[in-house]
Amino acid sequence: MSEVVFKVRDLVKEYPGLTALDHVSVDIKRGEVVFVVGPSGSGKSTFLRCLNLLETPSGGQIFFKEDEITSDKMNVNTFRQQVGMVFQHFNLFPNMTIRKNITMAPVTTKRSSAAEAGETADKLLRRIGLYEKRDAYPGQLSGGQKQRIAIVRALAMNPDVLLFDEPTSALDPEMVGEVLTLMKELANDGMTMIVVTHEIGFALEIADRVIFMDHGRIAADGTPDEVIKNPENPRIKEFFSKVL
Amino acid sequence: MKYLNLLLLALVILFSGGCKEEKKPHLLMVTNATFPPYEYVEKQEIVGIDPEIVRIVAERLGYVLEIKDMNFDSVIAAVQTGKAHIAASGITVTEERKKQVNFTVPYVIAEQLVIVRKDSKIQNCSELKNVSIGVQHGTTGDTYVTRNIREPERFSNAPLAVAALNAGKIDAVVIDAEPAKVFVKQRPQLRLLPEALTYEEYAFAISKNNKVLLKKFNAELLKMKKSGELERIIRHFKDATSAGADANAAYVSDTFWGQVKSSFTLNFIKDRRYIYLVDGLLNTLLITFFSLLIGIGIGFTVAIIRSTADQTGKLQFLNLLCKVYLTIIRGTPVVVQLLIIYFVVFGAVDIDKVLVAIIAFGINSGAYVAEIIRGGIMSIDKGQMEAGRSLGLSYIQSMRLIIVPQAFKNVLPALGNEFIVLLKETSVAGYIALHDLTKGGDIIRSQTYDAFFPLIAVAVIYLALVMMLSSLLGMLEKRLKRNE
Repeated sequence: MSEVVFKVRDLVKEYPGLTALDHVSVDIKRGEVVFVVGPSGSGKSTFLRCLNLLETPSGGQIFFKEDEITSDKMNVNTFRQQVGMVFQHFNLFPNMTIRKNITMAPVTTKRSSAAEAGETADKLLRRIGLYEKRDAYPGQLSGGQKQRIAIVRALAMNPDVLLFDEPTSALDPEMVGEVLTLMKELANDGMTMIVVTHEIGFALEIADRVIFMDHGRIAADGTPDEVIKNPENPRIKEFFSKVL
Repeated sequence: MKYLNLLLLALVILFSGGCKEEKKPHLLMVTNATFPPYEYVEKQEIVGIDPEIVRIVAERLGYVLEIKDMNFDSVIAAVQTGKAHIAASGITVTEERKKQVNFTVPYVIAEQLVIVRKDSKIQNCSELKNVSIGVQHGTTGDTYVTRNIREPERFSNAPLAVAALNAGKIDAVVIDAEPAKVFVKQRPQLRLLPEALTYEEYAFAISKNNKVLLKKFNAELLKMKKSGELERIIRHFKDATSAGADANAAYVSDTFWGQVKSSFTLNFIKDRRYIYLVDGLLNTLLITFFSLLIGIGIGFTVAIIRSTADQTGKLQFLNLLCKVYLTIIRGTPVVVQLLIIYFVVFGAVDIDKVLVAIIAFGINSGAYVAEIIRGGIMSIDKGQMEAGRSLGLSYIQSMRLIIVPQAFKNVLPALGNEFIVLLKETSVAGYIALHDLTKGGDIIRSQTYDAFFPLIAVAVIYLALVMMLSSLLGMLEKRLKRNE
């Protein structure tokens, strides 16, 4: 049995007048590609953002490998270095070159030396075919290129897990393919990935496991076939009949 | 930030080096050197009847004398607060002033005379009721006119009042007899009313706490009076300034360009008067540069504390302090802040005025820079901070490497504007008698009694500085724009 990377127990996130997450418990194992889907406002993005503490949970516990990251004693920065995040709006740093975008975090956090980080960046850039853009600034790139750089930026930290928060939602349709291709490669390489997305077709293609969220709770959790193709719950059935 | 601290420390050491303890006791005299023949500047030195008398007495009493120039409004306050030992500035003995300081025995009986234009209808003092009268702010003339005639127009120094009279802005000027005579001699278009408005006694002011000095000083002064030495000094300087006035009056020409040329020579070339502008300019640049650094330091610190508090809810106490700082600094005039820092905060300390000005303007500018930068930080997308944090950077690292550089670029035009305002605002440094660029022009004006050239020269230099600063900022902006 493979190692559990994230262990979530009774996770609650409350906003004034709204319960975004209502006692969510789930385990994520190393190497798993987990897709989190569900209607808007179901809490799937909040769930993802709680996993690397961009949102502070109101209750419950989250364990990363052996450590409880919701504990006050946890060094949040050290923990986050092991968990990469890819955002809907890329959030590249417009004041840095592409190469600097990738090397800045590993060097600043002393995860690698400047030379190592530069080497890694060049290798990754070659891999995605954007080596020529290494001295360009984000403003000069297309949306698809930006998102692939953002993924590479997260990879450069050599993380245990990658979190994707609707990585293709802000892209023009013709750009979606290149990003999905890269994500598929990563999945095939065995990267642990948790993906919040509306790309159900893509989920069917590469997900090991699909979690369906509704009203801040996990409504279904299983293989893509179980959750998407043959759902027992009529509400889930209705949802997929609309999006597929 | 570390470098800024070091720089400040170096600055403090630099300036405090100048005021080391002397072996002989120190006597600090304050004056307003725009009042010939009592005190005026000649060849970069303060000379006249008052400095001469005090110099001789100080020498006989075994003191090392230091003379500081400041606004007349401030000389009594300087003695009263203990910033100076003695004020010698043609000060008239009045009941109000006696409440604040002790006076020595009077060394001169002076008249207050009235200057009018040659073509004026005013013939004697009883006709002053319904005309506008100029005085030097805080002088006996000011008090007397206010009490007995009407509300006067108050000027910061006598030459300015005379220049206003000459330009037809006011109808009469009331000032002490000796300078009045000098002014009239230099300006053929002016004349004196025949009788004096009032009689006054001049004496030196000494702090109420320093009875010993008062006693010793009085003894020496009486000796000088008896021996006729006092009379000789007064006569010497009256003759000297009268001769100087004759010399200035020689710089008159019939043709327009001839007049321009001779005025230019009189104001800048003669006695190397341009040095006043050069010295002033250096001080202005020094003050602007270092207060800019302090302003940026404070500004960034306050802005980061404020936006951190707003975004994370931490640092609430520091945030409160910052708010108080911003409210006070932005809610009061910079002149008032400067005076408070000089007279109240450093009231009891002998500290270089340039350093005081740097501190005052730095603290002032910091408040404006802080709000500009905070605006810049707020304008950066929330996702930038999240991206930084998600990569494992600390809050501070994200601020420093991601947020602040972008914010800085966004607010550069607003910051540039603030720097230009700061440069020009330092012109009020003259309030603590600091010899900045504006004051340099004032000094020339007080010697040549010409308002036009010194003011235009000062204006042109400020304009040139601002244009240089603007183009530098423009270049920086363009450079940063390239990196996007």
